[in-house]
Amino acid sequence: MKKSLALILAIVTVLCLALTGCGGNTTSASQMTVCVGPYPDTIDPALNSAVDGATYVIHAFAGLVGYEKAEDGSLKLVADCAKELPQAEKLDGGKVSYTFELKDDLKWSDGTALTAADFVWAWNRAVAPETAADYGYMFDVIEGYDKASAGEGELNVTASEDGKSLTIVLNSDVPYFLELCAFPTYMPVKKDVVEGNDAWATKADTYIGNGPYKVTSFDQGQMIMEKNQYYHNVDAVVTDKIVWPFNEDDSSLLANYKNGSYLFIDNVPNDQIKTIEAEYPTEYQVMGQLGTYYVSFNMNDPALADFTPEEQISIRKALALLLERNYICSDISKAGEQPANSFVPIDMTDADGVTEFVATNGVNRDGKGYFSISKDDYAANCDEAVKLLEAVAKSSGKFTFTDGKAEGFPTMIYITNEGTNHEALATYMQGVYAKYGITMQIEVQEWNTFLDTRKAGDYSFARNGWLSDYNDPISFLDMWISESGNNDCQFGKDNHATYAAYSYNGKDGLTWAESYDKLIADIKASNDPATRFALMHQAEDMIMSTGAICPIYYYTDQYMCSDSIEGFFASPLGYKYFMYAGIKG
Amino acid sequence: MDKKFLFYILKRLGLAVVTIFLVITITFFIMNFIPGGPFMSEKSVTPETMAALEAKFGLDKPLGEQYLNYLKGAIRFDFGPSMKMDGRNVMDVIMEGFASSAKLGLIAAAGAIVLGLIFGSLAAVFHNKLIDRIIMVVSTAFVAMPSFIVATLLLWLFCIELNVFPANGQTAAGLVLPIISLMLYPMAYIIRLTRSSMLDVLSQDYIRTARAKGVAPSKVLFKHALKNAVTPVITYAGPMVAFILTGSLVVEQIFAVPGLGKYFVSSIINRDYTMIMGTTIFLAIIVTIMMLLSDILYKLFDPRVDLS
Repeated sequence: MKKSLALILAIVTVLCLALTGCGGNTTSASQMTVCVGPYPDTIDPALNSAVDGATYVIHAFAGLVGYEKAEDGSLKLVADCAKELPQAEKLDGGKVSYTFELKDDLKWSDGTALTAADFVWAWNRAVAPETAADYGYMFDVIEGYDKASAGEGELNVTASEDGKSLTIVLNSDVPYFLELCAFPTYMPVKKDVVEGNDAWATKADTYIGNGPYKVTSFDQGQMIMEKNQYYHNVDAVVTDKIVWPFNEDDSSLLANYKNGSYLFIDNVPNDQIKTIEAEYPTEYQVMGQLGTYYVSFNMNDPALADFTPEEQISIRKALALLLERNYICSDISKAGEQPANSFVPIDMTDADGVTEFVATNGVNRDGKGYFSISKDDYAANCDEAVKLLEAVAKSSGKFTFTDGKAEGFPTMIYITNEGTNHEALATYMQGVYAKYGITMQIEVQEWNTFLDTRKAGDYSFARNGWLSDYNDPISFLDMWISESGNNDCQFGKDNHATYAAYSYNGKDGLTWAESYDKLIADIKASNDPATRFALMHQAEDMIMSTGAICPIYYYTDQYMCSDSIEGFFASPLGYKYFMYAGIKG
Repeated sequence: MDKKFLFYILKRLGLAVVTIFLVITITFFIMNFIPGGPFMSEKSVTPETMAALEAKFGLDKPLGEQYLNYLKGAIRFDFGPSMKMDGRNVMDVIMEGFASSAKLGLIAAAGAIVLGLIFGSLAAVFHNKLIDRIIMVVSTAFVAMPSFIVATLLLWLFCIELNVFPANGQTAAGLVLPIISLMLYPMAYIIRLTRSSMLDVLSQDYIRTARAKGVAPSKVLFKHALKNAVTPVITYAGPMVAFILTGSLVVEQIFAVPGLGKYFVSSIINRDYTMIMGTTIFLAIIVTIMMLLSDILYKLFDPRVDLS
């Protein structure tokens, strides 16, 4: 008996040991292991719309333009495949053209030549309807986009005969065009590996790029990149080999970071942020992320249908004023977020490209936002909310509001997707509103159902969030035109379609379509930065005047980067740049 | 193998095909009736892109036609491309994940069965002695502890505090902890099953006879007693092995093992229709095979079992 037991135990032990093998040192002078996310859905530059996917793409591909960290720590746009950053040339009808001269001897990672024609092909592919790229619309600034995206033509982008220059015609002088040229969707792809092979971006041997690194191994567990000897600036690339393990579990990420397996992680467990901050003051980083977490109200909410549109505005504004955003940031979201009082977030720049857009926001353009978020003003905000509600109670007669408490106020349904923080915020709101006699029902929905409900406008108010794809406020404003697919507030739809009380261009009594939609179209057609930004401030005023958008906080991107890494930087879009990073010593 | 047995296996195989057909049908329609779709995201795609995507994956066709098309593919084990993971075939993703999960699962399942039988028998033999008490306390604890707690504890202790194992499944050493996490619950469960079944068998007359005849105690235990006590374990082990082989979301997430487990959940969250179907069918097939195997083992271990 004892013998057989010992034998079996021995077998099990041997089995375990056999598996153990060598643990292996994951980092050395020319190799680093960094984790930016789970196994990606795609790393095809045209199809990717995820932040982690973009990080892989910028390491394996190089666009016309790229980023570099300046001496002062800020990011600056630099020519990558292009020789230098071109100036826009004015054409007739407000159009402009950009001509990029490509560097000499550009090559793909398989050693074959890369020419301007590759860009033309890649861009048209990204726009073509059969590619069905989420970010195809990133090319909508280029002439011919409308036809190309409908499959009836091509973008007005031409390569010179010798393949050394690329000319692009834009519908108008878009100030952020060079930035777009550094965007992953704008990266070139190699026609003969991509065409007719949907799986090209899933295997290392067909994933040919032109960037600082080439992918040498790619499976569900990890991706390995090695220095691309054919990259035009290969001498600037520091580390020979980057290992990107795929991992999405916060606790697992932290464990791997703590024991040194990963030198970089892109997320941390929310409930441990305070400890991490204390333990890793230099390694835990919080950056702005060009995004706003907000609550969207349904403009056609049946729960408020008995109130006049003006009363509805007051109700929405009151509900927004009652929230203490400092508390939400410090005690609920906890990841260094900043309280928000505008929809366009911090870190977006204004017309001059230096001043922040938020520095001149608010109806008075004084940078004070659309209400105060100072801790000291919270009591005053509540008083104002009470006044608004009292006035609505009086004018509508639908409920009473005495001694700071409403009676007979309609029940509001708040929908949110699952998630500890989202649900905690909902509970907080419910508690605050209950103090004023307002019943808020929380409906927690599974992600996809939630998106569906919100999009369909089947709610009173809902959790919402928006992250920008480029540093220009238009990405926060054009989503609210009547026909936009992201118009969760249902502006200009159903009842709100006929509500004519907006003003634009000196005319009053306009509907949403006649005012806001027109305003956005004018912004897009504008060639003068000063006018354009003035109009964008006006657009933000308009959406904020409806009360339908209740900003909560500006998103942040948090990550941990080992002190042993130098030369790393991240962009406001959340992309991580390791090509110029190496391990100290 | 007698004719009756063979006929039984054929009948079971036939039933398995029907079961899998039903699984396909029910999953297909339920999946299509839940709100949302594979191409929804916080940032919505343009209507043109949505239409192009739907056309690409045949979602623009009537549901009945989609169903028939799916069946046609499924018969040839062609589960189509994933709707969320561009350029990847559902079957390839499943097989790659399954290779990782099954490696862990096989070792964990084998360990659970072997250790479960040994400790269960020990507890029965030393009934009400200290060793029995210890085994029972420990196994009760493991049965009661959900895997995410076990895995998190192991992660904290061995990967952070002691730092003796890596916290990810990229290396072989990284597989030890996930295997242990996967193994503990079924092992504890088998200990308890074996113990009670063993206690029952050990009190039978034929055991007493064997002992009286002077058969060696280990032979009595393993040949006479365990063989008869093992039937409930076989019943349990069939589905257990199926589920353990196809991966655990929690354990694989915590130890960063690139397994199949996460796709059972993520496919539904993402409404990745082809992946939902693929994972469900795959699981159904594995479960059916394991059930059949356990029934056959059942018969081999206990000839009294009448399979018809």
